[in-house]
Amino acid sequence: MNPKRRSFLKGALASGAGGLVLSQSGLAQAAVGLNAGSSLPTLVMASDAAVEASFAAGVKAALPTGTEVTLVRTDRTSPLAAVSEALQAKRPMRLVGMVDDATGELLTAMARSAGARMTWLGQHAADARQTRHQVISAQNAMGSALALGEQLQQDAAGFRFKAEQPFAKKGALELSAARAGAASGHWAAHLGHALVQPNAPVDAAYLPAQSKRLEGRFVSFVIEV
Amino acid sequence: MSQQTNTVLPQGVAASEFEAAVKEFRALLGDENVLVKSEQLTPYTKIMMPRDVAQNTPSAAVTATSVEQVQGVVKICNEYKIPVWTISTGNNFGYGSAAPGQRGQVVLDLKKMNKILHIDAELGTALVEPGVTYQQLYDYLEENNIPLMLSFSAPSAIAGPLGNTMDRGVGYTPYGEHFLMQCGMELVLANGDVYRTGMGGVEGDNAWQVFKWGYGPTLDGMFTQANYGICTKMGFWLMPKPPVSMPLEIKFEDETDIAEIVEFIRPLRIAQVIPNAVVIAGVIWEAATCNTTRADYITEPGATPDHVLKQIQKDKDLGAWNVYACLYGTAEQVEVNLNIVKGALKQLGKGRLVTEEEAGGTEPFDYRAKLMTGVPNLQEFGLYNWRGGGGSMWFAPVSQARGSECDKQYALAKSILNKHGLDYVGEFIVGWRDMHHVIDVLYDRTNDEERARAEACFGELLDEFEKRGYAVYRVNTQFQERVAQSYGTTKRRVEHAIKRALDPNNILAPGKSGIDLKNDF
Repeated sequence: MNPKRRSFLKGALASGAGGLVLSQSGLAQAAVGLNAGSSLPTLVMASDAAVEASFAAGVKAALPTGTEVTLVRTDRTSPLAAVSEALQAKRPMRLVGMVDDATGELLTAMARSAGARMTWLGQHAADARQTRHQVISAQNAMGSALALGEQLQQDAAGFRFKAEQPFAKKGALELSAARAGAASGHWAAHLGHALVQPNAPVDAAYLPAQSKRLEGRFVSFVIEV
Repeated sequence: MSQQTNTVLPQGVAASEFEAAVKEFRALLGDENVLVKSEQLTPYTKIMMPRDVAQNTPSAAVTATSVEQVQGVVKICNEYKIPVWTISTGNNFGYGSAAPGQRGQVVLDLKKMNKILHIDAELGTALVEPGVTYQQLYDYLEENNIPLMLSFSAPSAIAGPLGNTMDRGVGYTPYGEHFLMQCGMELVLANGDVYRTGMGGVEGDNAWQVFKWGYGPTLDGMFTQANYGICTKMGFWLMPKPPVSMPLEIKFEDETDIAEIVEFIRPLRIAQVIPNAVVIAGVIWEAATCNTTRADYITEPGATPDHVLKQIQKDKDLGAWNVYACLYGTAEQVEVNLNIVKGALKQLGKGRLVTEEEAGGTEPFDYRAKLMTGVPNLQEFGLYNWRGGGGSMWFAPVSQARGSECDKQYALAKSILNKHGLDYVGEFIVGWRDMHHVIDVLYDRTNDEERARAEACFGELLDEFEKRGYAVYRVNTQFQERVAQSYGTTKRRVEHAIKRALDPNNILAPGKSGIDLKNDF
């Protein structure tokens, strides 16, 4: 575990944030449970150019070299046909995306209908000076939630972060900070990365330019077939 | 074998008992049809109501593929006193989606019971299982060149006729009052018996899908929006596809036009000159369904100001109210009816008629035309992008089809929504003599303060409408107990007496429509 992550975890625990109980070994297990670093064929969905430059770049950076990757920009092409095909195909596959609310609703319904596993479901709001995040993660994807929380702690903008754990006896992990800095798209790049590799740092080369802002409402997800 | 990775249990059921029940579910259904891992259950937790997800999180989801398996599930649930929440396609967006009504309930997902059992092209009838979607049915009709037309709700492609009808949903064609077109149900009761309504109990009968009433009490309605049985088959009627369908839009400039619009439409609707469930859609509904978002115009929080709405109306060439109707029949019939509509419009002295040709394939006309002519689509999901953030609750009061009523409801709803910093995103669906006033209370679930406002707003809408004698016809699972109160204690006592008689162990969807034997009735 990298020192920053350890420090973040200590901070989160010390602040009594939610009922977060995940040991160092637990985090490592989380990464393993999430098919971390596996070269599963991956369908990446991004709602627009800004999400492609941040979230999708983070996803791609985390995938091992040689992984079969297909990117769908949902503002240009409806992802429904590609998702439907992936869900029906009888081969292991990972679908990772950050899309608009309407598409997110549809894809969640499609995943359920196909009996696919959904390890992550996040709802995000990014305004000029604040971002807000509500996520539900399967227990083996808690590392991704921690990675997102950690990145938000480092951002200049204010944030609210809530990781609900509806399947656990623990309460939600809640973090927040009131800051007046400008929001960037860094959190989305880190999120994309963390959804594939929750326990590894992001290569700075993949981060979007500092000036690039990411504003809007988004749904993030990881579906495994 | 899948291991349970969640700690959720049905209310009042010990972990050891639940484990034993899961073992029996597996023996009955097979491992692949018993979902207990959190990553398998996460898609069942996607809700749009303001409460925390945890309150509607299932302990497990099981999928059945036959009536016998449904009977087996009910038997196990009785044995272990496990509450089971049944879904068909689970796409009841904004009303609870696929999540159970109460934490810990086992979801019985009937998506795999998806056979189109029979279509009679001559009589215009269908018999389907719960998992059949409108898209599936549409494809079947097209592939087999059967000249029948579907009626469906807006999430048409992925929703299904059985679930929509059991929840008394509506569509946009002349067959838009779906429960009115239902004919014959098969239900698995809590004791495992299989009960068929109407003519379905008569051995050798072939009139199950053509004659609703059978003999003696007719109980179909009792099973809708209820928890007295699990519907495993449903029959319904399909409209013969007319030679000509002519979708029309009439745009009205001012929000104050609503009363006059209703007075203009009602006689045409009751006389069946306009035979379909006409829609009168407000400006934000229209804007959202032609891919406009609030953020395109304004970033300040709160209700969208009227001057912004006027700007959107102008930019997108929308009416403050937009009437969608469709004429059906032979070319001669359609022409006659079009002339009657034009005459009435001329008499009204306002409103701009738009034909399909004039609309030129643009939204929102295009998806409205499809809804009125039985072509599934998903365009209305654009509503969820208007404000974004994943919050949506349908507030759906009914009223008489009178201008004065609609005027009153519109003004009241808008003032309450705006007071809470939310927008009026609504439409009126004109029934034969009633109005379904359908309002999507859209809000941002990532914002705790806005969630609280949305919750308070919905409560106030219910309260204030009730004070004026209005109630909703359908509601999300968070408010189902509250809405049941609107309809009075006597009705609730009767409903609970039926529940005690048919489901003494309270295993079928306790809480549905406020019916739960834990209540003091």
